[in-house]
Amino acid sequence: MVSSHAHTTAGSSVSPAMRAQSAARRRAAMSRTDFPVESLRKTRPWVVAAVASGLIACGGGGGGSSGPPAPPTATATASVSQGPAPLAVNFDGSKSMDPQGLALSYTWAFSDGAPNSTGATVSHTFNNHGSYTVTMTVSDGSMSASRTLPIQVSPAPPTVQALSIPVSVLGVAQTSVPAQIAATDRENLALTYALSVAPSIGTATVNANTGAITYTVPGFVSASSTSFTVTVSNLGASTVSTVNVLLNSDPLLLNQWHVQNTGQDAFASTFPKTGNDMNVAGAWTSGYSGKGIKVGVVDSGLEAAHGDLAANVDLTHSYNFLTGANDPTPATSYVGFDHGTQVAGIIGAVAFNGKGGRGVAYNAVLRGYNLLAPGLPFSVANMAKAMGSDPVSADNDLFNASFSAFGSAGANALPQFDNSFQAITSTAMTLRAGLGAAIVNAAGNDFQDFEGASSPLCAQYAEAFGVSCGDPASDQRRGGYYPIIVGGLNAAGVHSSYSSTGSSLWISAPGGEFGLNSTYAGPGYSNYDPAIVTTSRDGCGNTAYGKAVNPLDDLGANPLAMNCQYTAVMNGTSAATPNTAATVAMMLEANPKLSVRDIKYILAKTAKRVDANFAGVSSTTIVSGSTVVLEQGWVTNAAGYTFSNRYGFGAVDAAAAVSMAKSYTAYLPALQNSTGSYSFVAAPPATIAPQSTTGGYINYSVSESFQTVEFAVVFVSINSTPGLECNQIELTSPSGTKSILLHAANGFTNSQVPDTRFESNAFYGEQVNGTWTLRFFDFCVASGTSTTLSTTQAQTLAIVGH
Amino acid sequence: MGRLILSLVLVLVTSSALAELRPPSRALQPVADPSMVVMDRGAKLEVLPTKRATPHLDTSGRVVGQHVVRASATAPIGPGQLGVVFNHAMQQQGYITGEISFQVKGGRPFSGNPSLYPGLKQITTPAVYVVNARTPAEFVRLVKRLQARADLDWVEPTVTYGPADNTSTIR
Repeated sequence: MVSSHAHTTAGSSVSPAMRAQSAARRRAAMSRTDFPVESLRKTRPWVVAAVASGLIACGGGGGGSSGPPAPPTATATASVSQGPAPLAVNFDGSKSMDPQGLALSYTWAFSDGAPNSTGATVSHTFNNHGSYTVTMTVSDGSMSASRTLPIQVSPAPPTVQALSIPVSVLGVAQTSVPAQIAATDRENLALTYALSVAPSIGTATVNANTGAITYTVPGFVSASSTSFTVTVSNLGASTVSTVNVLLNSDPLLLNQWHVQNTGQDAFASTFPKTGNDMNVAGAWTSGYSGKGIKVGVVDSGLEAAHGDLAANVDLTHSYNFLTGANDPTPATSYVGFDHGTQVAGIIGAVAFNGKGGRGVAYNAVLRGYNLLAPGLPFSVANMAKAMGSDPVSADNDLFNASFSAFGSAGANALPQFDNSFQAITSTAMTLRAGLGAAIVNAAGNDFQDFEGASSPLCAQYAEAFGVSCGDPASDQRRGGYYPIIVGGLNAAGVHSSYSSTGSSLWISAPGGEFGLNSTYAGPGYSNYDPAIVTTSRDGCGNTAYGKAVNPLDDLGANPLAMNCQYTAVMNGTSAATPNTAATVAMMLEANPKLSVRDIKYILAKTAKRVDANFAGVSSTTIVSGSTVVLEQGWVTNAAGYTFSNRYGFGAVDAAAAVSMAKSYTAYLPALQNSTGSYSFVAAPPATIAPQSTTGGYINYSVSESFQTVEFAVVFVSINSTPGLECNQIELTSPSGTKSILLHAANGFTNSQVPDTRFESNAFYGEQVNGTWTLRFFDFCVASGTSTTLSTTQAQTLAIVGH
Repeated sequence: MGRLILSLVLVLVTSSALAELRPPSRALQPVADPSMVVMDRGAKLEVLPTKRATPHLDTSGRVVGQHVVRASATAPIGPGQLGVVFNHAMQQQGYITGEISFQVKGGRPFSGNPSLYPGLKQITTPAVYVVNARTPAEFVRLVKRLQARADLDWVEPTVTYGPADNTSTIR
């Protein structure tokens, strides 16, 4: 409570003595209250008011009837004299008195523009900051006196809304997130902002004038939160606000070398070699994640409710061929890890959820089709339904087909051309309003054996010479005209030990090795190099090896995989394929107008040449005195594309592919098939001379109206005793580029190859017209062996291009 | 020194083995019953009517072999019990559910007595259909019946190839 005391000031009729007395009292009052006081309004010029001290101001002059009427004595107090706006003050003038005892009226003026108030006591709120003088005037009807009270109102502190910044931590690059401090000032005063306490993780900047915040985290973080404080100030007050930062990441991203290879621990005994990754970082930092792109995962099923997949799974357009329902989740009665769940995680494991790793196209839509479910024999009808020939799958943007000889392991022979698969893939090429839904297809894992099934021929020939035992052509369910055939790369950036090679290969992508860690798995395995870290079907009874094999696949002992829902042993071209499919998803997000052929073009154009010194495989002993090239190294064709049967056009570079897709406008013209008849039926005996390095050959003189090769196809019909292991087939283009369609020292048992298709991408971009040469070799030396061309079926060449 | 010499000898032997392609002779499996042979895109595909197979899966769910058993020739074939075939071109044993696909020329709809084409269903465009044989004999009849039609582009039995896990015990 404070008070001040009014006093009257002398008018012209006041005596000097009284004036001196009044001044003295005024000084005394001021010294007591520290208030600048005063106004005197003389309504009766003869009145002199005396100032009392304390809470009461007394009328001066003795009052009563002894003199002329005295004015009232104005005494006012305020409950508070200073404070921040809004400042509510109670004013009390009830101690004012009138010497004559007349009733007093009270008028309060607040100097803030508000209307005056009346009454002995009033309350008033000063809404704005400022220095105010409150004047109370008391009147007895004929005379009045005033009292002033100073009120100092400071600005209210700004109001700052609590701010929490969710940060989707890219992990592979700096993540900067903008945010805005939402602060208001009740008087709309200008506010300033300053970072007062910096975050313990990352950095934060605050724009002093706007409150715009940029929070930056440099790379991967394992913490889930941090905070910093910002001080928001107006003219005289400030508010300190704590900003909470939620760091949403994926703990196993750190181990996913295929995304970004920093030489990190991937749970295997050996570490990846830095830099050998798919360059996903550049695509992510450009803002691409496959958002909304619908990917059909045609596989063994996928666990739709998996905690790291569910948010991206579209059950409506999935299908379970075992149950006829939409949920493709493997039956709980089935014990065994689920290939499809692992594939799905590589493509589209949910990002920024604090769980597991991250899909390469982490915003893609996943649809599962359990075409290859355990216990479900392969069916062409099912394949058609899963791959775009049925409404349940017809609006997919692409299909991931991580199967090769899946379901027919050990089929170590070349099958006949598969018209039904060709029809299904051709239908897929009509989807997306004719742009086509890409089919990304595994090359197969037959380099050393046939999908794990041992083969004497593989060991005797292919493995001994260092060439692939199988070939992407060896399974009738892959290698159609249109699929993008994908080979595997390991964490050292070179050919995975199992990945089939062949001329139909298009591209290579990380597939890893086996992910075993000797500390856990023990000795006895041949390969302890990293595999791919991805989701796995929940349940520790579903592990691939049935025992702990590395620190992640530790039967639930690892806190990051307590239900064995993640694995670090996924490998194979089955893993390379979804890595490529996810890249295609990002390409389609960047440019939805891309046709399948545009996609293939961009992948080829942007592929990275890996294993640059790979020179191929030759033998100088197969034919004495001659060099037989079983596998060529990198060959640059006449159109400038560099190709090898081991890597296709090279390694997928996701960032480069997505970047090119984004700016791509040179869409390829319509695809054309050669219309000429390029067939040759050999006359008996049609024998291929054994041990000849020139072999037997057929020249085709091609003349077409289109100019540019996309791929070449030959249909071959030969008879070979006892099998194909000595046979090599080569195709040479008019530009002189040679492609080995089938190398000798393979593992195929065929005694006859009836109308079997071989495809080569090695001529991509070259000219169509001119002489193509198809050459057959028989490198056997044993007696009783022979190779003859069919004398009833044609050897046919077809060129496809534009 | 003795070990070194032995190693050198082994290396020479190995190199010799690598030097040439000298395949061991292999006996081709002959056709057992010509009446059960159909021509499949240039290859002789022989149906083995008294064999049935069920898949043998590894822990990944992958088929690593087929468990082949004897059965009556009239025992049904289907997804639960596969028929067994032998592709004489590939010299590989294969397995069938009875599914046969075909395409009608010119994309025209298939016409025929449905009772002669069990499980007839169009699966994709243009005019690609499947039928499902229920016994080995019906499989052979259906393939031949379809192949005999002049209005079809192609006819293909669905065959999955791979080893039996008990080949040596079943003859």
